[in-house]
Amino acid sequence: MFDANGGSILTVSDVSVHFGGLLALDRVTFNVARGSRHGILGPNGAGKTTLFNVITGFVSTQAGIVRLNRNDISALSPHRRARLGLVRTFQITTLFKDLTVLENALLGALVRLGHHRNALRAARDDSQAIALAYEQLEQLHLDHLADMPVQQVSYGEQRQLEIAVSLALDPQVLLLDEPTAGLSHAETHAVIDLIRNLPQSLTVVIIEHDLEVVFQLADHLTVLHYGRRIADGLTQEVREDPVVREVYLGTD
Amino acid sequence: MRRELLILIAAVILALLPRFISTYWVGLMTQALIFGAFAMGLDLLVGYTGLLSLGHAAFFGLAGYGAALAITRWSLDPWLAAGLGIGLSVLVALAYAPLAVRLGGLALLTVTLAFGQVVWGLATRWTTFTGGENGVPGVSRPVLPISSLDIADPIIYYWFSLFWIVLLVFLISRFAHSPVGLSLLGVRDSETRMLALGYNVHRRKVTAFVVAAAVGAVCGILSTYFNKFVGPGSLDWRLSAQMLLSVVIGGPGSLWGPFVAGSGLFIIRTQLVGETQRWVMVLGFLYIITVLVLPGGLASIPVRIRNRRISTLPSGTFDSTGGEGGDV
Ligand SMILES: Nc1ncnc2c1ncn2[C@@H]1O[C@H](COP(=O)(O)OP(=O)(O)OP(=O)(O)O)[C@@H](O)[C@H]1O
Ligand SMILES: [Mg+2]
Repeated sequence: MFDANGGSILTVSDVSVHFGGLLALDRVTFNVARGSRHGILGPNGAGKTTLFNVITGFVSTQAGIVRLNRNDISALSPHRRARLGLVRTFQITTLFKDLTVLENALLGALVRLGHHRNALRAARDDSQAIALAYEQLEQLHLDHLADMPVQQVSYGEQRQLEIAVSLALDPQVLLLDEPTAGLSHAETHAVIDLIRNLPQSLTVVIIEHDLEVVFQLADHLTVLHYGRRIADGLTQEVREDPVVREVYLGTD
Repeated sequence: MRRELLILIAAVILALLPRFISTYWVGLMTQALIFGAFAMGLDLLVGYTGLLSLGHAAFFGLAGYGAALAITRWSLDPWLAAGLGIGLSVLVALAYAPLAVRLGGLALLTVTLAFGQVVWGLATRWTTFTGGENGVPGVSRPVLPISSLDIADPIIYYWFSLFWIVLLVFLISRFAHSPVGLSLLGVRDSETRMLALGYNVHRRKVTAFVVAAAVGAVCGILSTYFNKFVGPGSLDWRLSAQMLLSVVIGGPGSLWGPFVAGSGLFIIRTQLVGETQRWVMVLGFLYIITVLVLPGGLASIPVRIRNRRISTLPSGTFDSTGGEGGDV
């Protein structure tokens, strides 16, 4: 943590974001180690989603630097960052509602294969991309829904589909914004298992309100409070941190 | 495959049509098909990408004017002139689209309308070059490579147009079902998700805008050569509106619906006496009827019939996923 960014795949340095008079992020710094499961904790409005938006380029930094593999990506647009392997899900499910489950995954698979610029061959005949999309759905046990319009599948399945679509891109870093929000107990466990079974080479950053879930999944934790980083380190350490216990665990 | 077969069958039926109709109707059908293809191209922008344009007549007219002026002023060969006209239109679209598609919804609608009016204004005011309100008459048609086919013959010209329109429809259908076509649907549904998947959303919108313009340009050429004339009517905002409403009435995103509506509306228009003023009213009326009675447009009729038949079956265990649109 202290040796600059030795094994870090993603580093956020001194990032600040203002929304009018509101300081949503106040000189936030933290590193994500390659292959780690990094949890972001913090009460409502702490700036967690804003941090994801800054990392993925949906909100531009007013100060500070975001680096992926040591390269400064602060000026890149969201789609460029996604192509570099920085892929996210959203707190509010963001999918193609009028398309089928398979087509949703297919849009990811096409990018991964570099077939997304093909303008004259039927996407349906691209067996390579279809196979890849199917594979991704199978991995998350969603393949039986392949031909259903997203609108018609359950909320829990949509949350999982969002992860499947992101995985279809073969990301380097997967950023999950409250993947279990609004899910039933059983669905939450399905998602936890899913995240557990992700390949170790994939780095996962996860925003999560449910402490039980975070403590199960994350090896590193960063805690935000009113836009400031109030704790950062290994999960066991942060759990015991008196400031965190007072500020965060106390208010929950 | 199935789609391409359907296009082929439709093409054969349309090719045989002149045997059964009068010369007057052959002329009407020529134009009807041209406007059908124009509306189908616009569907890629409106139905697929979810961007509204009230200015695509500009690209139809620009191509027509480009070709007509090249032929009459510089005596260019009509084949070359056609290429020039289409090229001009596409270049203007390429220059304008990146600015326009930054806007969406009503703002885009007004900005495309304004653009169309600028081009229309240029054509009507720059009298010495464009002929002003009188347009450009005396446009000669291209000479066909087979000397026995005389393009002056209405039936030959009908087949000539049909050939290009079938090619256009084939390409539009291909494009629509390609990864790029799918990505346009993605942009319509969620720009945010598309960005997060690594798609350059802006460029996809520009692509849809320019492709719709290019289709309009080809149609503009066919129309100009049909009339052997081009005038400000080809740039009129009411033509843009007619095409936009053809998409809505046909069923956005269905491709064939806008084609049928684009052709149908043209025929209806020609059958109304004392046109102009009344036409806008009729168009508005048809639009309102569609929105109220048939929200999915013409393309939703087969789906409705299918659903009705299903609902009268004894067991109600059929899941109708057959979607609004998406299939040609
Ligand atoms: N686009 C925006 N414009 C204005 N204010 C914003 C914007 N996005 C976030 N904010 C504000 O910034 C603060 C941090 O919001 P953010 O969504 O990052 O919090 P969060 O930690 O994700 O909270 P939650 O747990 O509720 O999701 C909040 O006060 C929020 O209202
Ligand atoms: Mg949030």
